[in-house]
Amino acid sequence: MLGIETSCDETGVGLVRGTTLLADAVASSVTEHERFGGVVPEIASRAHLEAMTATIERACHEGGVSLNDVDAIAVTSGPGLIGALLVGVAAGKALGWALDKPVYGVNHLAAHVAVDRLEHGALPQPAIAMLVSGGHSSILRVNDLTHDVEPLGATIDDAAGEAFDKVARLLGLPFPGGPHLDVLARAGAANAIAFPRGLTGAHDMRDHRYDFSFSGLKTSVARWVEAKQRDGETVPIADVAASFQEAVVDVLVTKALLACQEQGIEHLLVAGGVAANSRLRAMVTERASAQGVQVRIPRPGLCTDNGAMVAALGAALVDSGIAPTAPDFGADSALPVTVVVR
Amino acid sequence: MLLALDTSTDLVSVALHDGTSVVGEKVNAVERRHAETLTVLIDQLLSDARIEPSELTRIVVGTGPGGFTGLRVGLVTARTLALALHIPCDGIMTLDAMAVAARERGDVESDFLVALDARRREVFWARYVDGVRVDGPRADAPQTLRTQSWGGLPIVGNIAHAYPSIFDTVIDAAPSAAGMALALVAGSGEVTGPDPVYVRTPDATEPKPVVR
Repeated sequence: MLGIETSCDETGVGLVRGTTLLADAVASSVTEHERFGGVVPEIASRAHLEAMTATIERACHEGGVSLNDVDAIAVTSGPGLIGALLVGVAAGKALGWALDKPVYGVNHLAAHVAVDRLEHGALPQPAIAMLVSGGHSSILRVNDLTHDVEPLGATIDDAAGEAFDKVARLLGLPFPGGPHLDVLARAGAANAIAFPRGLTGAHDMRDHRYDFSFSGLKTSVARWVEAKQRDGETVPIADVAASFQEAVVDVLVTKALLACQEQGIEHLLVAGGVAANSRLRAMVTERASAQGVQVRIPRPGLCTDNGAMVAALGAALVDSGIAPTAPDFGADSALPVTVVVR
Repeated sequence: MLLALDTSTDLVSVALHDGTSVVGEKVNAVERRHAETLTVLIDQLLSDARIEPSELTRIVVGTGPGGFTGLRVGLVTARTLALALHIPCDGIMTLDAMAVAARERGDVESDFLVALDARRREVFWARYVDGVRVDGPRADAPQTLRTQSWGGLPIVGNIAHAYPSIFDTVIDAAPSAAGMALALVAGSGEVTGPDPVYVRTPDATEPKPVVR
C-alpha cells in the first residue's frame, strides 16, 4: 500500500505491507512558512507540487520496492488545506490509473489513528482516540476504524497544536513552536502560574463534556505576559511555557480518560502531532495506568503528518474488504471524521 | 503516442497524438473540479482511442499561467504519470501553445496578444511577433492591454466575457491540448520542463515582530 499525504505543509509518501512499515518519506515546507508565523496555504501547495514525484521516488528507494510492486494507493482526501490536498489527490489518482491499481481517498484524522498499527499492531477496538494536532483536537469513539468512528467532542475554537504555536510565538520561539515550547517547558515549573482549564467548569461539563477550548487560555497567557512587561519585570518564559503546557495537557488527558471511564472502554489511542509532546506522553501514560486504561501512542516521528499513516489506514481498509473510492473523487477541506473513506 | 493536457483554465483539455495526427481529444468545463475530472477524462480518451496507458511514450502539459490550483492538478498528474510509466514529460506555456494554434488557424498575422482571464480584475497575457514571445507572461489590469502604445493589437483568448466593456473584438480561444500536441510535434513553441508559470507570488504578509 502506497500512502500520500498533503493536507498541510508536509509532503508525505509511505509504503506499508499489512502492518509493516517499509518506507516513510517526508518533505516539509515548514522553513518556507517560518517568517510568516504560520502555514501559508499557497506556499504549501506550491511546495507539494515541487516535492511530490521526488518523494514518491524516495519512498520506493527507501522501501526497496518498485512502483510496479504497489497493490493499492491511499491518499488523504480531507480534511485540510484544499489546494494542498488536491495536489496529493491528483498524484494518487494518476498513480492508480497508470499502475491500474485501486485508489482509496481517505480521512486524514482516521489515518493519524491508524498509524499505530505500524508500531504496535492491530488496533484494540472499541477504543477512545484522542486526536490532537495543529488543526484538530478531538475525542473519538472508534468502534471500527475502517467504518465506524463516532465523534464525542472537539475543540470549539483553536486546536491544541495551534495554541502551542501561538503561545510559542508570543514567547519569541521559532515556528513551529510546539516542539520548541516542549523543550523550554522542561526548564520551568508547571505549577508556577495557574492558567485556566477551558470548558471544565460545571456548566461546561454539562454542555461541552468532551469538548475543548484553548483560545481563552492563549489570551490568558498573553495578558499575563503583557502585565509582566508593563511592570518592567522579566518574563519567566520557561515557567510560562511549562504552566501553559500543563494547562493544555491536563484538560486533554482529563477529558480523554473521562471518556474512557464513561464509555466503559479500556483502550486509549493518542494520535496527531501534539501526541509527540513529551509532557502529554508522560501524563497520559501515568494517569491512564492509575485508571486501568491501556494507552497506545506511536513514536513521536509517526505522530506528525506523514504518508505512512495514510498507507496504514489504506492497508486496514483493504484488510476489512472496503471498496476503493470512485474514480471521480476530489478533496474535501472539511471532511468529517465519520467519513473514513470516500 | 503523445498525451497532451491542459488545466490552466476552467477547462480540462486532453488529447492524444500518434506522431502523425491528433487521434483523440476531449474537453470538459469543470469549474474547480479539475482533480475530480482529469484522470477520468484521460481514461475515457484512451479507452475511446483503444490505447493502453503502456502505449504512451511522452506527455506534454500546459504550464500556465492560470488558476493555481487547476494548474497544479495538471502538472502533478503529468509528472506522476510520467514517473509511473517511465516516459518523458515536457511543458509548453499555455499562452505559447495558444499563440501557435491561433497562427495555424489564420486567426492572426504576425503581431498579436494572447490573454486569459486571471480573475481578481486581472488578465494573464503575452505578446507575440513573428511567432516569438516578445513580452510576458504578465498579469495586469485588463485595460493595460488597450492603453499601451501597442494597444490596438489583435487579442486572442477568453477575456471578452469577463471584461465586455473593455474588449469587444477579442478572437475567442481557449487552451487546447490538441493544439499543444500539434505545436510540440511541429516543433513550434518553446518546450520547457513541466514547471508551473505562476506569474503571481503567493499572497502572504509577514506578521509584526513580537515584543518580548
